[in-house]
Amino acid sequence: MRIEEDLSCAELVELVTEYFEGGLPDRDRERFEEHIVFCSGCENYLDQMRTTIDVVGSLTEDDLAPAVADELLAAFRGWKAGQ
Amino acid sequence: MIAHKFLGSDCTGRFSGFAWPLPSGGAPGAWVEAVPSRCASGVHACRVADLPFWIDASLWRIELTGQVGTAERKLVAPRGRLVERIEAWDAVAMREFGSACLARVSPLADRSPELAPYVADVRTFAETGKAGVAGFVAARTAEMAGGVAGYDAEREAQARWLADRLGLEYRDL
Repeated sequence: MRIEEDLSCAELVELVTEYFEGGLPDRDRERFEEHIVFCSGCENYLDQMRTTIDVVGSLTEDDLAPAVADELLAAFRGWKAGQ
Repeated sequence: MIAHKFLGSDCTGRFSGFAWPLPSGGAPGAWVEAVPSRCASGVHACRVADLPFWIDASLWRIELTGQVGTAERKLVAPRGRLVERIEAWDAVAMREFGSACLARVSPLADRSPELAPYVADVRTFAETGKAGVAGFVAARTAEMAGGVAGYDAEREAQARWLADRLGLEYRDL
């Protein structure tokens, strides 16, 4: 991987969902993983995301109490309105 | 075919988090199939020339079967199992690897003082046993001094050092 091909940490964060879902092209996947080798901060982030998926990845809408679902929807709508 | 694989100190894959079945009593570990929940593309492994890019705490020989594909920096197979740990890759070897990187790139700072901070980083990572990071920064320093050819030459030198130190056979990609 050459200097101009390096991912920044911010770019890696944006790609992490596609990485976990296997949606990155091979070359981008390799760039992503090479960054992890030398960046302990992003390695920690990847571990945290993996743990989060393990813990909550199987939740469905039915698992949420109605009040929690309403609160989350309000938060998402508020976030989107603020963009 | 036999290839190599780095794992963490807890013998899990750095990217998959998968805990590999370990060899026991002289017998290889259980076969591991590539499944989408770990990695959609397959079981990943290294040729000797790939090793510097994926350095981690423990190094293993791995047997791959099925259609083994090659990517720029790795092999990808549908099935693999760990055969044995390469015991020579330990904390001492990791520090020595970093020191070897430092020895190669230090002269670059003598000729180009602007590279001195990068060489200092290589020294720091070498002294703290962070071999993978030392190798990365050394390769980047060589690239700043000599372009892409410098980067490739430094990475090749790292792979050849690992081959010599660990008794592995180096082959050009």
